[in-house]
Amino acid sequence: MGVPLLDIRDLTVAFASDGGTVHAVNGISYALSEGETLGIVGESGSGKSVHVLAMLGLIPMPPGRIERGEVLFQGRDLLTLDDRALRRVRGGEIGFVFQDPMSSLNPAMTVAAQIVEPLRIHLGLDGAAARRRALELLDLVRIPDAARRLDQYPHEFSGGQRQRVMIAIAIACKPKLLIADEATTALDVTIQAEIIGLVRELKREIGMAIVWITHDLGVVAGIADTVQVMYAGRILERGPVDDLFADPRSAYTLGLLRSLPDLAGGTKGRRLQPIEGAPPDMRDPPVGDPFAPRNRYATERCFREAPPLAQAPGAAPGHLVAAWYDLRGLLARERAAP
Amino acid sequence: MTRAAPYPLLSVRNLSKHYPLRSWWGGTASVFKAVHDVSFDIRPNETLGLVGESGSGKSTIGRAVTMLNPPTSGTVAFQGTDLARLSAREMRGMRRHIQMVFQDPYSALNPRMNAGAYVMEPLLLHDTGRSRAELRDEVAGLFERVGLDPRFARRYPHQFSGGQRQRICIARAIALKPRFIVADEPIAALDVSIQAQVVNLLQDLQDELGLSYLFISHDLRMVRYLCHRVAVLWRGRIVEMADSETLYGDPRHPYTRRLLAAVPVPDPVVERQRVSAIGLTAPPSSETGHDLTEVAPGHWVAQSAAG
Ligand SMILES: Nc1ncnc2c1ncn2[C@@H]1O[C@H](COP(=O)(O)OP(=O)(O)OP(=O)(O)O)[C@@H](O)[C@H]1O
Ligand SMILES: Nc1ncnc2c1ncn2[C@@H]1O[C@H](COP(=O)(O)OP(=O)(O)OP(=O)(O)O)[C@@H](O)[C@H]1O
Ligand code: SF4
Ligand SMILES: [Mg+2]
Ligand SMILES: [Mg+2]
Repeated sequence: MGVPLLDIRDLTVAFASDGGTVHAVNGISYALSEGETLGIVGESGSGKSVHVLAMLGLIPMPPGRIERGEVLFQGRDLLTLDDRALRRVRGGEIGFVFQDPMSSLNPAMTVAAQIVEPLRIHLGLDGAAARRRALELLDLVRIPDAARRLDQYPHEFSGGQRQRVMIAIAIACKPKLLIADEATTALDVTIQAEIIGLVRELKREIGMAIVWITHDLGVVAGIADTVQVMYAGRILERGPVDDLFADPRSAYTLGLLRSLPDLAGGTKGRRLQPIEGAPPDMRDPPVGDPFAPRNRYATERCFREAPPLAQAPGAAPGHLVAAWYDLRGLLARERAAP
Repeated sequence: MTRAAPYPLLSVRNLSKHYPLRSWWGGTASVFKAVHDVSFDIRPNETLGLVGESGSGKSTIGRAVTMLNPPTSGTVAFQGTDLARLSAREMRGMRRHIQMVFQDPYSALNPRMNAGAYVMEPLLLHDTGRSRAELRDEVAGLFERVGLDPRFARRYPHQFSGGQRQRICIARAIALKPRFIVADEPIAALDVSIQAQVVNLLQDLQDELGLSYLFISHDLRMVRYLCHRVAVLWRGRIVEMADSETLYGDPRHPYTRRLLAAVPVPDPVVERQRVSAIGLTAPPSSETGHDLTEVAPGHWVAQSAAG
């Protein structure tokens, strides 16, 4: 594998707030190789967005503070770069789509102007060439009647059309790394499939690596090589996609998989099964495993001591879990019990 | 699930919405026809799902039936009252019964108002005469119902994650116990466990208060689970509408079929096979007929596709 494209080490991010410090990201580490697609799923509020914003230098400081860690991108620590150097990386070698398209598109600028800008800055295209490329990009993300729409403003686009504009901007410079945070939530499933196909093509063509953050477990199943499950600012489980879905080792992952209704209608009329309980208050995170209070398999040790992320016994190599309990054994015993 | 009552709470007839298109010199050159001639009913206690292509006009319909951005033509009747004929004052009174959860929670929230005040605002406007302490308790209860820590009430919108913001909007929409809620992608930003929690909540409220929903969503799995009936929108028109069992079991319009075939499956082995099998199919041609035909009781399909 050689040197990873992205290597995050012990990243820790907090926010000052009037009720105390919010510990949003608590010492997460992971690496991503060239051409690899990492799917990140997890609890709402678990630090998925904050950790990628932090690595791109985009959290407001204060109240935000990066307490520890390194983010090595092609060997350089992004956290030590100055603003100018970071701006060259963002939108150039790293393309990103934020969760909230309205707050990242400028409401006072036409869509054309916003797509053309990175093309001029990063690729040095002149006005006419950049506009031609912008038109191609809007076509590529399936915006109908793209020529007319180029000169419209963001509020004239539907939710999913705005997301597609963001995706067009993110891939405009053929980045080495694409970070997509809930990038297809406003798309219908057919256009979503086309956009995912497009991203896959880019991955094949230019070896682009992808961090794909989503709540849609079906999308993750289709796009990811590796899946990572986050909870309360930590990684609870991580592994090759097939192994993680077939043999989940964290009780939280299992709870997510069991919350889904069934497309064939089998769950109709039955109550859905969310995970019992509420996530911890991140101003005062628990000392032990943050999921322990909601986990019926938790052992006494889980409440005292946070488990490290380590190889799950008997699972595929690289399938890691942070758990003191053995979920597979417990489930097997449950199935065996009458 | 409660049985839906037979008469409509909301009745939408021939609703169209046009947006002006600017010409290069800044004037209004022509219009963009976002929604054409859409009609449907929603009964008390009923959830109608609205699904379809991105950009097909779902949010436009949601804003039109709540009169936040009234239709260009057509009527919207709520409990028999034509909403377009109400005075501004009457409409304000009506608002307590008709609420909306917006697709983009961040732009719906007021950046200068903390989350508690935002949820309390409709209570202050409509439920006058209650003490601040009572209202604060009520807001705390609403936070709990949507799975948010009541202590978050003093935080401002930018201090929340995407899913937390969406739940603040849901808490505000249910604060006045309305009769009808337009929920525009209310669960897309939530993790699947909280999705299940919010959907259970929507059903509980329906059982308790008999309220109705127009549930706009791209999540066809959840739409099947939650909705009594489903309308499929394509290029500004309803191309198919039926009770959800029929629509999922016997889809007739090519767009509906294409949509159902594209739902991702949360199993990597199945999903990779499915993706390589369907590939990138061409969209259906725009030549299908426009008039809805009733192919079976309650099952409507745009005409030329019905044969
Ligand atoms: N400016 C801020 N001040 C205080 N807390 C913040 C701020 N920004 C984010 N947070 C908190 O940090 C935590 C992590 O937020 P983040 O946006 O990363 O969640 P997420 O995993 O992306 O969730 P979602 O799936 O809902 O988008 C949340 O608890 C959030 O409330
Ligand atoms: N204010 C506006 N001015 C001009 N055109 C608009 C305006 N608002 C929406 N449109 C256009 O009307 C069409 C319907 O938009 P709408 O937001 O209703 O779609 P939608 O079905 O909700 O899509 P999505 O699933 O992507 O949210 C789109 O083509 C959009 O570009
Ligand atoms: S009005 Fe338009 S530009 Fe302004 S916040 Fe809403 S969508 Fe964005
Ligand atoms: Mg997020
Ligand atoms: Mg919409």
